[in-house]
Amino acid sequence: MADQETAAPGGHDHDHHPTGWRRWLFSTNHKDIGTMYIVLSMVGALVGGAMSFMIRLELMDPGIQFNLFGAGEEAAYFQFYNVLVTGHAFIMVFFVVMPAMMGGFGNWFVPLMIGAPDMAFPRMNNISFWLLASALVLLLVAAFTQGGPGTGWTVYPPLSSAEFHPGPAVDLGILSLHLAGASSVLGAINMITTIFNMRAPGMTIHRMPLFCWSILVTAFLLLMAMPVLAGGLTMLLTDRNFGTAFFEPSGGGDPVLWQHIFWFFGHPEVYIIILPGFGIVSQVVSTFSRKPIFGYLGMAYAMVFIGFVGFAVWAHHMYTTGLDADTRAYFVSASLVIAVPTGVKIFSWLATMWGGSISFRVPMMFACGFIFLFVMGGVTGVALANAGMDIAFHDTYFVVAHFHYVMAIAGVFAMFAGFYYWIGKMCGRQYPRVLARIHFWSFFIGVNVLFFPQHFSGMAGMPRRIPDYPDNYAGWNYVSSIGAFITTASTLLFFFIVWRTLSAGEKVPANPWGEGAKTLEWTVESPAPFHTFEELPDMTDKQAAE
Amino acid sequence: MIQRLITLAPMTALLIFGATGNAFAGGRSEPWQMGFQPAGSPVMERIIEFHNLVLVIEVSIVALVLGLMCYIIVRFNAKANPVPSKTTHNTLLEVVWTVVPLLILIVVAVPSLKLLYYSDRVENTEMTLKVTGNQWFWSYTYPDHGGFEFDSVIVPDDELKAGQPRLLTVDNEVVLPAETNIRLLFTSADVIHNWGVPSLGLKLDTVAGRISETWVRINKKGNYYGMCSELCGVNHGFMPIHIKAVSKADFAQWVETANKEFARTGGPAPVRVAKAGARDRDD
Amino acid sequence: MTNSNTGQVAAQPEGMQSIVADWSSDQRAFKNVSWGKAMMWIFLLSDTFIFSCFLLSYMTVRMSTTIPWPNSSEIFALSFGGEPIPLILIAIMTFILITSSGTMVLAVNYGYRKDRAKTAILLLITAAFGASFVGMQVFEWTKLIVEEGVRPWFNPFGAPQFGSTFFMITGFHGFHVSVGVIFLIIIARKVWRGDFDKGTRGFFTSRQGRYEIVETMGLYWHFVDLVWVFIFAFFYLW
Repeated sequence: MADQETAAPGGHDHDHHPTGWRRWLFSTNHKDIGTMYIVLSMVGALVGGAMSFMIRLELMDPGIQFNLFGAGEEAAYFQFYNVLVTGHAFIMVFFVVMPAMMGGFGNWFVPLMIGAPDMAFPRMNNISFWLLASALVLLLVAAFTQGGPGTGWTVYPPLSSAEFHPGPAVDLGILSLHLAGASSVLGAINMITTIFNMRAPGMTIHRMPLFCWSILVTAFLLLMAMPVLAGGLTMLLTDRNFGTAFFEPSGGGDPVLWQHIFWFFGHPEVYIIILPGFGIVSQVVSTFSRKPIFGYLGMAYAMVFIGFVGFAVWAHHMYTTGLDADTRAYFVSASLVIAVPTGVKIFSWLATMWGGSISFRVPMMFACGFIFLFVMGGVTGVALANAGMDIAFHDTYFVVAHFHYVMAIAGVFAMFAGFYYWIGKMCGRQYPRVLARIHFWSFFIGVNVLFFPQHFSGMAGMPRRIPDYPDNYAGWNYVSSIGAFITTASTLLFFFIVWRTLSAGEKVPANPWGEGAKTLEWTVESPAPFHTFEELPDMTDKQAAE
Repeated sequence: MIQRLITLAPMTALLIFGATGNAFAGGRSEPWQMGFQPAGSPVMERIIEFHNLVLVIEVSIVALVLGLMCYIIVRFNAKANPVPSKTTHNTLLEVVWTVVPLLILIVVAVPSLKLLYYSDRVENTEMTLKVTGNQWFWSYTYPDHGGFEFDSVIVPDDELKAGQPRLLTVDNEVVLPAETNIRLLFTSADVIHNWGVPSLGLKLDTVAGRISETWVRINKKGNYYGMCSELCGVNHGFMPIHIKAVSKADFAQWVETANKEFARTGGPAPVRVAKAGARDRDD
Repeated sequence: MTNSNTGQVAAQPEGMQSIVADWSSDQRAFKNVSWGKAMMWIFLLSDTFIFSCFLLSYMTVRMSTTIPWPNSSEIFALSFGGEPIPLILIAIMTFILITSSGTMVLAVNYGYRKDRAKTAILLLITAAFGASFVGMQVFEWTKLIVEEGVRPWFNPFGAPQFGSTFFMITGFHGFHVSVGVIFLIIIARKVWRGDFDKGTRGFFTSRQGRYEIVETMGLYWHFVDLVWVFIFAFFYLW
């Protein structure tokens, strides 16, 4: 057993450097697979963003703007609108944020940060990616099949049952989610085994960078939440096609059972989305403040606590379904508790910056933006946790504003911070500085103009998922759509920046960030060579990470 | 077309506002509204009060973080502070920023739970209204007043009369007596809908196979509008709710006419029997 | 410079100290657990959640049914000589599966002792037991579907949910057992041919002298057995 562990896993030959299409289709290299995930996420961002742009165009003014299927075919257009709403959410959650953070940055940098030559199961890593790519294709096919799934990403029956959504669209959507779930579970197993078993000598769990901690906790959440979604989806599939009645009242089933199952998955899912973002922000804040993270153990275990308690709060998405008052009281209390470890993290980041010597390069700007904007989104979450008050907020644009602030603004800021921080390491070239700052400010302004007024619409009573609204909601909707234009322009600028970086960016040394960048990825050259850490680095005599 | 709508909207709003000026000055949103609609029920009054507390806390936290961030940006940027400190721990600070948020949350949780239990049930109700969600309209049954039932369907844009708000007008409004504790029962004939009336602090899913319950007390006479609040298919945005609250006397009179107007044409009662699997009211 | 692997630790601390030592160590958290085994444990954790989802949904459905639930003892009875014996098939199936776990344990033992013949035979016996379990489940399904007319949407005994939950849970479990049988046969063949001793290139075989895969397979098999115990208890005995 002795020489197994340092030998490459699975007999992987280190002179192995495939070329051509085989390099990508049969990849077993964590950097290549990470790159593929990031490319997938960019494709997803374009599709998902286009969908939301169409939604905002429709909502810009009262009345119906687009009669895409001709006069008299409004129903077909409204179904299409609901499909846009559904597709936008699925794509952003499963095919933009998750692949970018877990698949992209996770695959690229977890092995580098722990000093491992690759992931524990490199071939399984590849399967995870190609399963996800297939899932995206299947989802897009579903959207264009016989009207598409116009159920919202929550897929509540009876609307999603065969009676109210006949045809294969919802079934294709279910199969797409099965594939995406399998991809995530396999990826999670890979991450856990890698982090537990492949750290360099001297790198104990408590010296591991916080980004790796965030990926570890996220992997456990995926492992335990995805199967529950898979179970529910299977039951919905049999309800739709094999005459079972798990969620069918006429057969003795209960639609609310689906909601419990979905949200038992759904709530950990949103932590799955944001936790890697927390990890990225920790790395960036520490690097650019030239100070180690304040309260490392508190940060690590705050994430563990958030992950853990995140499994116990799902029904705060179900306050209006008719749950017992005592049940709701429990979920209010549990949901409020999650604010405590989150607050610990926010204050720890601020304390890290306090006393530091901060250079406000673009990654740091995005990280600071994250901290502020996540707090803004987080406090509206505290408001929504209260079941009594949720009566006023449920299914209004207030909820839309809340989750976009935490996921679409803060989460995306974290993704951009990671991109600007690590792009030099990934491709060897640095981003164009002035353009990147313009991107930051335009995006910051755009998303705030987009989403802040939605708080007002929601408080005024505007419901979610509607293609048209009573005239008095017109004002803030118009402003919000202007924000969408700004955000779209800013995102197009970002894609230009990506192209510019790859084609003409300034060449970058192993560590462009100075003494603040203390993690292992900055010890290898930029771009990182195909194989790294073929000899394990020795961390035994280095300073502890804290 | 869009231009005309935009100029039309504020005029329409003015007309409607004027029309209902005597009773309750609320019941629907106003242009550029930033807060809740004025409260028309005791539950909504308490929600607004509770929200005021929460808003103060929310704004303080955001202001604190923003203030600290701005101070940090000015005081600790590389030019102002070339040598970073090495502090990574301060036990007192860490304890404070764990305990203080916990205390703030308790301050939030206590009134929150009170509000929750208050909004859930009330002891003495004087009448019952049963609401059934359909694709894509509401039907209302008055079991205590003869069991008559009627549908409330949206009036499309091209059939609106002057002064009627677009997407909120229905053919048959729900007439209810003001200053009365009313028990509300909800169910659905097909998919999940949600009966939401913002100014009355009402929002409850209507689910096929179960009957959900809550209560309302409408403080003043007037018109109260709401919209379906759970995605239910293509016309989810087009099944509004219009409650007309009248005096108890007017209500009694209306009940008489309604019994004739919506009389059943014979046959078994249209009361929808709870489907198999429906749960007890006390669950 | 590669450090000598810390996988071999001289004196392993016990109990709580062992957990602390694992958690605070560098390189490997699980000192005596190979990656394959660690991976299997992690996978089984996730599999637990999907079975729990199905079982909890079944219990929810059963608790809220208004039409009486069929009586398992009557439905799952077989007649021998005119006398119906309740739950006899299930009892035999349970006995077989638990015995197969026993033979699996023996196989793992002989595997570590590198006794190829006995290991392969025991693996095949385990697979045979598993296959007969699946066969009996198929017999049960056929009897219920063809003779009694049980469908996912209807059955003549009572609540229609009985059919849907029965087929879903036993189907999912049966699928897991079938996959296990296939893998058992594959591993048995590799053991027989001596692939693990030669370190030939291939799935699971490239590390010389490693019979750990037999133990990893055993983990999966015991999990499948444990799930059956829960199904047996909650579905058939309740």
